Amino acid sequence: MSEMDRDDELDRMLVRSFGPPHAHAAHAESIEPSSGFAASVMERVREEAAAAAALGPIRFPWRRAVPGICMVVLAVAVCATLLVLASIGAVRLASHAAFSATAAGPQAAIAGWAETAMRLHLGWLAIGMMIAFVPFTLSRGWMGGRQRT
Amino acid sequence: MDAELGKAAADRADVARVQAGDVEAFAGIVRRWQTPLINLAYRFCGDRGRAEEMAQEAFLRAYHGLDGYRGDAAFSTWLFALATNLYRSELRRIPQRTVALDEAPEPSDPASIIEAHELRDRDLAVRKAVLALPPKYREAMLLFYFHEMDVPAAAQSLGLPEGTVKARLHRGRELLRSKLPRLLALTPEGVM
Repeated sequence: MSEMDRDDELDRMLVRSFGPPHAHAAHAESIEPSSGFAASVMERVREEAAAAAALGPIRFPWRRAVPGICMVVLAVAVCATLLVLASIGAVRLASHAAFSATAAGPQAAIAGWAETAMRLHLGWLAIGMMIAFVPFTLSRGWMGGRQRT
Repeated sequence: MDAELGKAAADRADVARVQAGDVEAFAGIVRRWQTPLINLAYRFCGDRGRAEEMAQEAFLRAYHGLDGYRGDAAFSTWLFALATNLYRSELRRIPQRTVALDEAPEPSDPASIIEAHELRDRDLAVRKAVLALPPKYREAMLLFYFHEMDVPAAAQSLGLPEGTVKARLHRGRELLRSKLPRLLALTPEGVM
């Protein structure tokens, strides 16, 4: 018996056991709903529809939500202010370094840029981003592997 | 084909009526889909009573979720995906009673598989072997054969890419072939 014949036979057996009910109507594993099934489903649907109608639309819990919303707005405002202040400082340092570069040649320019980077803690920022990037990449790789298999 | 189109049109009409607030229109959906949904549940759990409970829960979820159904996919696709998702989580919550794949019985005397009732025994052995597969292979196989060997339909029901479903089917078949070598070597034609 060839491999293809074996696959066909396996398919036939699996269709008999797991195929849709109309494919093999005479097969013992195909079952019909019990006589009261549809009525019982509709009864529960009606109950749930009536319960939902009695409750009415669910009100938004403003009393509980307001403190949280205030905290979020405050946090966003603080972050935005810090970001604006940091940007202004960075622009000032960068323009100072650019002025020094044009005035004193390429070596001074490199030193100026390095000083600017150190003052802005760009090195720490880069290390922090790399540290964050490694687990992110690894977890994505693992999740991708799990999805494919 | 005409029957399928008629069924799809009836589904669209009933869905629109339910979405407009007519609860009784849901009865038409239940009537048309009760047999497929109960049989799908039965293929997952192998227990008639539990299959009806699971199908009832699927219909209730469908009723609640109908507001969110926008008709992007066929209603049947949406309903099967919802039911499959529910059945899978139900079985994770309360697993069906199965034997381990290595313990799934193969008929002791394959040469005796000639008569009609023995064909049923053989199907039973295959059924037990499939139900003993690891869930991800079992679910792919159940849905593939339930949807008449239609990979895209099985993939939509499972919410997985077609390639993933194909890979799981391939691996599932390999496991079955390794479990049931004598059974597959001995077809009714082979022994006659």
